[in-house]
Amino acid sequence: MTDDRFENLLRARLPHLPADEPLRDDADLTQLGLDSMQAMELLFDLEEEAGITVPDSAMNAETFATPASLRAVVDQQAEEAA
Amino acid sequence: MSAPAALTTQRPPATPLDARVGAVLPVLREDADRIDDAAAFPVRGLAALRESGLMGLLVPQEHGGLGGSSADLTHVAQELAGECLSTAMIWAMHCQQVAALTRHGSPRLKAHLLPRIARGEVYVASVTSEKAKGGHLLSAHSPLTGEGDGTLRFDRDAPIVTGGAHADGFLITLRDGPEAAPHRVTAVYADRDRITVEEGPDRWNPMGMRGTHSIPLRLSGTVDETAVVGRRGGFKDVAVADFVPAGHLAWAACWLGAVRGALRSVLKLLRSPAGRRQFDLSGQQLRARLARVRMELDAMAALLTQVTADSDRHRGTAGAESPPVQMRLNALKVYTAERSFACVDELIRVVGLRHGYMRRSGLPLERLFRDLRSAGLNYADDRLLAANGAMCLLDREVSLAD
Repeated sequence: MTDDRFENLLRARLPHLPADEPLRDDADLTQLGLDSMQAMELLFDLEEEAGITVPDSAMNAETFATPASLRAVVDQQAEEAA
Repeated sequence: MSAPAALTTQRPPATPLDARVGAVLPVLREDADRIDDAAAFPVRGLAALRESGLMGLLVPQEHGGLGGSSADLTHVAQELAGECLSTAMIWAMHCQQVAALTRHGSPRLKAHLLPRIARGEVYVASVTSEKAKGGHLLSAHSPLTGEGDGTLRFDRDAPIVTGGAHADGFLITLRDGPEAAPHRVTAVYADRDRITVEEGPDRWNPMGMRGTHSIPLRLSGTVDETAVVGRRGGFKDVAVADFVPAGHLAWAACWLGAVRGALRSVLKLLRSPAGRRQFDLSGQQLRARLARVRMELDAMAALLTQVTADSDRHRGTAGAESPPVQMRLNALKVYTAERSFACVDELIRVVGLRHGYMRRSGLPLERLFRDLRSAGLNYADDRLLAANGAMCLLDREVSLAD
């Protein structure tokens, strides 16, 4: 998944992030409005885009803490799937 | 980060009991389709259960068993049924016999039999149905006859015995004597190799639950007074205190576990990359259907937990026979029978023809649909509802059990 595609999917679930503001890798996703329902929808978006299934054990606060932590989980699953 | 943290699925740590179950599950998973195809008894599954120690789950520790509780019974039944409902039911019915033997067997019978059950050497089948009376548990036609020297003789036809070709022992209900009324039912235990067991023709070819291989048997022989389970003519007390509650709890747990397994398989498909190409997980209708199944699972599980507590609390007391407690026990059986079948039907709707209706689609839905069709017929819901309806009419205050 390209960085742009990842960021676009992420941005769509972050209501408190203005469109003209850059998304930092270490941004606090909760502060930007990612609640548990939105996190679930985001996960489904990413799974569909990347053709992966994130294991239940990875569905925790650490995974959804920052763009970097989420990207790491997605990349790891994509690597395992490939 | 409290909000996304709510996604985390907390699992309790694995227990020694889970390790025993874990050793059996792969065998059940491997054989489930094969025994369904062949309508054959799960020989390998039973061997794994014997090896695991789970045949002695309800045998007290002083007799070498695991000393498991009713909650352990329903936990293990669910796990087994998540892989193979037929094998789970065979195990559950064995546990139902063990519950009766453990609590109502004579000291000599228990000392002789329970350690062998705990070691996995004895699989106990029940012989409670009879041609003349059908499945009614609390009446019997075929009588015990005395020999005058304290031995008890019987010669009984059993039209359908689950596991009858494989059981090592039988819990048999009989009329207490040639002159006794049909409701004077006595239960006796007999080892297979101590009596004459004639197997009738194998015509077993049902729609579902095909692994619960059942055949007609004719059992004849003698036992002594120590083989009597409960009082002479008093099987009703055994039934009310243990046999019926253990049966209802174990069956309900099996059905609930089967639906949990079904939902697990559906979710695995839906979340897989292949599933994502076929199903739109954002669809409101799909989500509502999944939510309904999950809601039914929670309702069944809550009722099961409540009736398990009722059964532990009232065992051996007059409270067990109180109408509100009896109605809830019967309701557990009827409710889980109805809803488990409805849940599988709903899951078939979710995944459609290819994954839901086709045999060997990779999902167990087609098999479970046939299996669970029998849930309401087995110990018939109609009869339980008629009994509950009568008790309901008598309780004009509508006092729900505590």
